[in-house]
Amino acid sequence: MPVKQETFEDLYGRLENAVQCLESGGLPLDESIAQFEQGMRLAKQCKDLLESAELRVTTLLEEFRESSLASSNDTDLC
Amino acid sequence: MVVLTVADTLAYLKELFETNATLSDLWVMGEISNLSRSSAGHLYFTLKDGVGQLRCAFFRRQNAGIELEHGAQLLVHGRVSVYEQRGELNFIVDYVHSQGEGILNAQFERLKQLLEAEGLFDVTRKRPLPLFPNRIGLVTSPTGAVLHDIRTVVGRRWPLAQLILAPTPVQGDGAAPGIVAALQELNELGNVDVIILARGGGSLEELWAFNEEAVQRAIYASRVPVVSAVGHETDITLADYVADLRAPTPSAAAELVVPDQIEIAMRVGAYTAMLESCIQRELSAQQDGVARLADYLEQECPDLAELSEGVLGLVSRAGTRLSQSLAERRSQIDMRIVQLASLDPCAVLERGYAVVHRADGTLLASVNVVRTGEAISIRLRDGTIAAEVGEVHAG
Repeated sequence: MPVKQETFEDLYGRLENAVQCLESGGLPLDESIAQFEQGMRLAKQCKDLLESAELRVTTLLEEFRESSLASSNDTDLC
Repeated sequence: MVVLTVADTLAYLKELFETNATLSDLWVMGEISNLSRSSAGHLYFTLKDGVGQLRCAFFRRQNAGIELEHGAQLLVHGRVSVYEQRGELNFIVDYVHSQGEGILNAQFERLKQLLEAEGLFDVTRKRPLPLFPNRIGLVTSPTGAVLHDIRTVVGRRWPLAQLILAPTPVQGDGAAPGIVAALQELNELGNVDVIILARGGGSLEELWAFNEEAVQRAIYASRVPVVSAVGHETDITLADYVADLRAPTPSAAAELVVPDQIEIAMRVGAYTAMLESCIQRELSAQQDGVARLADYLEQECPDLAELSEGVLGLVSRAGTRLSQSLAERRSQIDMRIVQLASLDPCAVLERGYAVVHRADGTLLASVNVVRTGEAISIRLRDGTIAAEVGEVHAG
């Protein structure tokens, strides 16, 4: 199996989290700074994903072929 | 040769009718006559045309709220059966439609009623669509404009997604089974986030596959949320009722399913600004805190220079005071010495007075205590005289 890449949804969700954390305040300074840096990093990753994205169109048949290939690779490894 | 009892013959006939695909799901058109209602609430009538007639039974469970009229032209749905006690052929009616709107409308209404009663349209089972779908299943024709339209909209709005086309005819005999298979296969594929079931505009006949019962059951069975987008805004199919969301057109479905990347990029930008203003606020709050603490320390910490000056002042004042009081003491003592000197009995002796002591050393100050012949000692300025008392004269 390929390493599971973080989806946009994951990144965006974590970004929202960081903003919320920082907004509600009450964190020690070093944690605030960590949240800030993390948030900025996530925002950049989101933007990069959006900018580099290109719509993929496949058919069901191709998908099934791919997933059966992937699963046969898995069994080879076993 | 086969010999059967009457009962076996009728049972055989009954089974033959009821297992026949056409006879068990049949629409019949005709004029109503011999209408009667039994005490149990069942309706019995004959459906006839110029050639013949068909006995019909419309049981209470299905006929609630339906009024039939003698002589009316009807389109009825039901199945052919055998009434064994009388050896009669019977048509068991489950749906009645007044004729004139055509068979498709009748079928639409019948299925709508049936599926609604079964809960396939239940609003409480409508699922929310994912906010950021990764994999979008698309059930439609591989050749129509719909694929192109949806591809364009998704590509423009959310190119992060992947469109997985499950091609199927969307019109004609192969359409309903094709759609059912496509829905099932997209579910089997796994990790499909949402399915768009789409077709361009057309007549009721052309859109008919989207009203087929099998299609509704496949939509209902889908574990992945389904968005229906069939025809134009005014076309309503049963799929629209069963789907989790109805889109007025295929393009609109694409708009509903994916977010707009421009809007999302703006939100990400807004989050960045919020992060920056938050950390700015946090830092300046911390700075204020430090400054406040510094002020506080400065205020609360005593001024050492001033203090030492004070201490020195106090010390010198104490010194002055001390020497003053010492001098005072000294002069007081000097005065006392003068006073004491004036009281010194020796000074009186200097002036010619004498002091008389008795033999035991006590001072003799009165004639009344002394006896004749007692030894006394008389002290003068420059020495002592030992004497003896001769006579004593008082006063």
